[in-house]
Amino acid sequence: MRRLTSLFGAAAALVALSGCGGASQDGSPASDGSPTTGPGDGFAGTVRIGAALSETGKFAVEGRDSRQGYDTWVRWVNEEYGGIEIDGARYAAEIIYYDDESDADTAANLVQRLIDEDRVDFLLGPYSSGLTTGASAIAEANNVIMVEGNGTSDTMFERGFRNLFLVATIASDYTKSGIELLAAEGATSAVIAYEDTSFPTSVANGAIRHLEDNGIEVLAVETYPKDIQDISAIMTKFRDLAPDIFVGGGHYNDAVLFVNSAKELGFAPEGMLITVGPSNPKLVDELGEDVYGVLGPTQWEPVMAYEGPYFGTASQYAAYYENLWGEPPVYQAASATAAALALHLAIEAAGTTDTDTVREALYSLQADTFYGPISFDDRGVNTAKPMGTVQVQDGRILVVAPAAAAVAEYSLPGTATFGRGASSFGIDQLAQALINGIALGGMYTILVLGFSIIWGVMGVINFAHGEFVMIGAYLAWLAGEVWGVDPFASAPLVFVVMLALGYATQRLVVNPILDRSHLVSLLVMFGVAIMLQNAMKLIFSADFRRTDTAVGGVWELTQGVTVPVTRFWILIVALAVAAALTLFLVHTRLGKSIRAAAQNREAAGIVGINVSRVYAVTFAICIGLTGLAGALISPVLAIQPFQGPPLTLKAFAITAMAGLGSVRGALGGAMVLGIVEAGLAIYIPRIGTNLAVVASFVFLVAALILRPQGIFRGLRPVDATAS
Amino acid sequence: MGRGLSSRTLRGFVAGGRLGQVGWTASVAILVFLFLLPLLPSVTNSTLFTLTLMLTTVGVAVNWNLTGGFTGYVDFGHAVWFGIGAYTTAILVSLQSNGPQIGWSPIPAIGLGALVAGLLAALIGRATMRLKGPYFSIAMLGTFVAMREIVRVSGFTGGGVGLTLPPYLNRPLFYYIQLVLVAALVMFTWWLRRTRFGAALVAIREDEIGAEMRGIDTTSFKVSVFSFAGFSTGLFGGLWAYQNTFVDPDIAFVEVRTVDAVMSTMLGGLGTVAGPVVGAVVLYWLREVLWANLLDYHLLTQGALLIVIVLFIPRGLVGIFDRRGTSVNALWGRWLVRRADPGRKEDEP
Amino acid sequence: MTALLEARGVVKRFGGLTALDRVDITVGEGEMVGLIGPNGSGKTTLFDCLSRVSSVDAGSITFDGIDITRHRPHQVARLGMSRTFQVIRVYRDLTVSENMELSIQWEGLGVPGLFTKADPGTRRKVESLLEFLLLAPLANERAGVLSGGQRRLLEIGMALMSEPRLVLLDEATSGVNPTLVVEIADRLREVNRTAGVAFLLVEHNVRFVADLCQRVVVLDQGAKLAEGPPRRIMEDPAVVEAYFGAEGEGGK
Repeated sequence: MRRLTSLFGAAAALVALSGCGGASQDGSPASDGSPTTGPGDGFAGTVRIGAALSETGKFAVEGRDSRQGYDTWVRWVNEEYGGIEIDGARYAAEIIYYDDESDADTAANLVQRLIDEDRVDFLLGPYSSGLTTGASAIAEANNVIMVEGNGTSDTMFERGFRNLFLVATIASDYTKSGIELLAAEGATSAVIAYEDTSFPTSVANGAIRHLEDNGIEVLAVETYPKDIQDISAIMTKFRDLAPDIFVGGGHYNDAVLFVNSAKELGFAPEGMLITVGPSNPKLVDELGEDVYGVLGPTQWEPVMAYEGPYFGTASQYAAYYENLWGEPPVYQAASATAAALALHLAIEAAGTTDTDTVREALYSLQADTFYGPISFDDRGVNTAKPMGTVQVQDGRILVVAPAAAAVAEYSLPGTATFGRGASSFGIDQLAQALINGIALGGMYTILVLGFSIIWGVMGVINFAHGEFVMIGAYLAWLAGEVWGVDPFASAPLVFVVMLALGYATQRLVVNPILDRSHLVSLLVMFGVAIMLQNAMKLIFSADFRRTDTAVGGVWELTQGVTVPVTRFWILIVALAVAAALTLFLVHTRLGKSIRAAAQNREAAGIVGINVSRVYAVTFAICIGLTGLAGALISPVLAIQPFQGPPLTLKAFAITAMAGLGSVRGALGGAMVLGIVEAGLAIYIPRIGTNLAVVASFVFLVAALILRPQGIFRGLRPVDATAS
Repeated sequence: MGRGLSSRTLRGFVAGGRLGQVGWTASVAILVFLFLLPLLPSVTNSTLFTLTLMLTTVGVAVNWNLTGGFTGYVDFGHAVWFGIGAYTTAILVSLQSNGPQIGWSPIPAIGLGALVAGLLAALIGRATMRLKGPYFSIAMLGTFVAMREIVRVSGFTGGGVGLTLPPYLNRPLFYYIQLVLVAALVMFTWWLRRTRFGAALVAIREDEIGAEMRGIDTTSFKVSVFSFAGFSTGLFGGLWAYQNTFVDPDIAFVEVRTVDAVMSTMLGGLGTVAGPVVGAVVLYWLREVLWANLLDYHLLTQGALLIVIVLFIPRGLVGIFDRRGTSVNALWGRWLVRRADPGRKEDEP
Repeated sequence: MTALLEARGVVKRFGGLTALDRVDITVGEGEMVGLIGPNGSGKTTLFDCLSRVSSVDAGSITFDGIDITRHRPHQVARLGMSRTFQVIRVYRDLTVSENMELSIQWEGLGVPGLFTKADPGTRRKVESLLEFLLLAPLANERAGVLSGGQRRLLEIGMALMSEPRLVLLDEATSGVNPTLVVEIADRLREVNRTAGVAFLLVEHNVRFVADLCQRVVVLDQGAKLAEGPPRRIMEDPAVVEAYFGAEGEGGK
């Protein structure tokens, strides 16, 4: 009973919350720079429109672009155009914004609020398919029209909604003009790889359809999970199939992975069509020459040859936009303006703000605009506007398709070769799987060592492990940016820096909590991890980075079997480090002290070992190793503040499986895991890479249950099933 | 251990049951208020939606507490039951072309979703609960990750594209359903702790081998609790899926849901009845305040908050008063870094 | 006297080490048997096997005619065998009463019984047992604040709560002051006399064993070395040698 007394606090909170009207909003719409004109400025009234957009969270950048797009229309309609004309009178346009924090639940909730409390007449869409799906469901249920330009997944339009309209090109048509272009150039075979999440799947399904429609044979289709680190298995399979075209779909970082991996493995199809990335100048900066010749879709570019009576040509619109906001428009902004414009035109055609009449007007709308033609089919999708395709030519991004919008000719990339012969089976595939597996094992080994020793010696489960790897990678990247040094060369320096960082961390954070349970240290390190992620994001931004190394490319053993050079050397270093570590632990006095302290801290203390110092040194060395791993792997790693956790998880799995603090165990476990993952990725068609992720955990759980002592005996053998 | 608060007067007050009486009255009052809330004119669907989402978080936390706080098994993959409930419901209800197009109505679908989650929890629990401490936790995390991928690559789940559900947005209805569920769940927890079964769970947490030796069938008991928690969490998952009108593997299986449940329960008080509720509400509030004002730095403060909870409020806010709960320090007690047990002769055959 | 507990040919290995090598041991109804031997002789391991905390690699264990070789510990407890532990296992954060209440006989409760609160019958039993063990004034204290000796008594009380037929006592007098040792001996004798509870005691305190037990079994390096009445065992040269080495110095 006394326990429930604390519900008092809950009640107080709930009361206060409900009094505030719920959610994160304090009641006032988020408005900075958003123009609001109303009656009294010479207008007969106001048309109120609502929009939930991402001002914070992972879509903050695109959300801001969308907002600027909507506001461009508002400014133009109120200032240049003179107001929306309804039945002879002129009405001002007003958009009420709320921040959806890039969260789907919040977006849906805010749309509900715009309808119920702000009583808007119409809605404009949020950014991304994920958020638009839920938000549009609310609009539909309340019979309010939503026009949008930034949520293009096909699934949204299969629900039979009558109130959702999309001005942009739908996901399944993203690749259409690019594929048609390549077909015209003579391509006959293709492979596809895509991230198995909502939007890329829509794009890929569409791509398969377009390839077949254009008579191109689809040789293989592969999927991979989100947050994938290693795409080499898929690219190896593709290389062995020797297709004319490669189609890849995911998000921005996948473009980096595709291009890097292709280069590493010597895979150079005639045409490379990547669905997100090539239209973004940042990609060109990041990848340099490697990305030349790559094709990518784009909803809109300022140089396209579209024109309309409202904003003029695409470049005139761009100039107007730049004048307002001080930067050129990206396609998300243009899509937003176009969405608002379509709504505007429909209202004028309807002559009223009555929902049903405006809906009919939208269905009958036929307009030519700066954005392209707009005409909605009965799903609400603008099927009149084709997707543009750009190609990176000599560092510039040029529109090459469709013909109506093109500014340049497609050019065959200089490095393209016409296939490499028949695809390989049997022994070649087995050999490649083994090589990939061992290479992966080498990477895992150097990644796991530090984690395993810390757990084995000090009993601390370092949940910030992945973040330390990232710090090492960022340091290598910095060295590359500032001094132009190769990561393999800067690795020793990174090791030294991380040694110091590790020592400091141990003294400040870990030492004080050493006499508490493992759960405490795990959670504390998890908290540290979160803080480190944020710190890295603030310093380096959330963009993906990569480092360049001279130690790259492949060695060709036979036609179908190659050895990736970078990973080979990573493996060598990993083995060397493992050997050195073993020698250190067995033969040096410090090493022996460490092992003694691991076995029995009390006894070690009695024998005269300064256990505190031993722990500090151990932690320092391990963090140093972890940072070193980060630096070494940086050429093949996705360097980003939030990519740490999958690495921590992998280290955790391998260590628990193989035995705490065992160098042999870390090596063995890493190898086993690497080979299993590579094998699955190569041998299982289509979902092999997805299954590889599952594999490591199935392995872990099975190992723990079947052999609770760990597969190898570690420094401190622990029984996983012992209470 | 709440030094300042263990003063005689406070203890007398608490032991005398007067705090309890206050607690009872307050809880009833709150519940009545929450029931009447939708009738107030200023309350909109939007507010109800927010509260419903918060009730979901509370529900998941209360369930996690059953396994983690009461029984001592720290489940790092708890969100998997939520996802399974959500997906089963979606598969049964959705009419989208890439799914099996079964087209059930929501209530039986949500019910079946919960049952499936509970059943899988029973099966998986039997295997993973043979592991202890960090090994159980990581095995459950692995289960969560694996399940997400399995759902992603399976044909009948609609794959990575996800499934849409028909929009049926009766906010007050779902608000009431979830309010009743959460209230029932909290009362169930309170009642359970007073029974022998509940006492046995605490025994399992405190000393599993000792409990086993004194006739407690630890496997049956802990797997039963685990299954119930899975079932109940799946129920909330199904409800969420229906209200969200959309599921895909990456929004149905989210690590953050587990983190929220764990942090809420720790903040509120492991093994207490009111702990997860209080913790979830406080955490929600803190987030709104932190995020709203700190934008770029909110992650930093969240990390710091976790550290503060673990180091300085290990028993949680409610746990300061309620001694029947446990502390973060006590979980995984066997895994202490310092082997401080003299006379522990485990190496001696 | 019928054999209540009968273990034949018990073998237990840990990796390359054989901790128990074909050990036989029996305890009859109402008997008090002592189990002694030098450090590392396998006494606690044998207890772990008998109480089923550990599995056996070979051999059979029968309790009250039932083969319990593959039983789980809680099943054995429900059949009527309790045990205490060398390193005391009480629930430290719970009160003494709560500790006792958790040690009831779970067999026969049925599902409804699980979901009720502790009933008056149980409370009375707890009270009387606590009185018997001189722990009554500590009934509402956290078990963690009790002294070592008090905790030993509590553990014995917990072992008795389930009305067992046999109790395995692991080092019941270790860390207990001599006065309390006498008390414990008295209590055990009393329980044995009035309720007919059999005891198997692992002990280092040889005098304690000699006073209480009718029969003593000696283990050395995992094998049974000797068995018989306490007096005879104490004077057996093999036993003395095992304990004290070749010189065979006398004394305790």
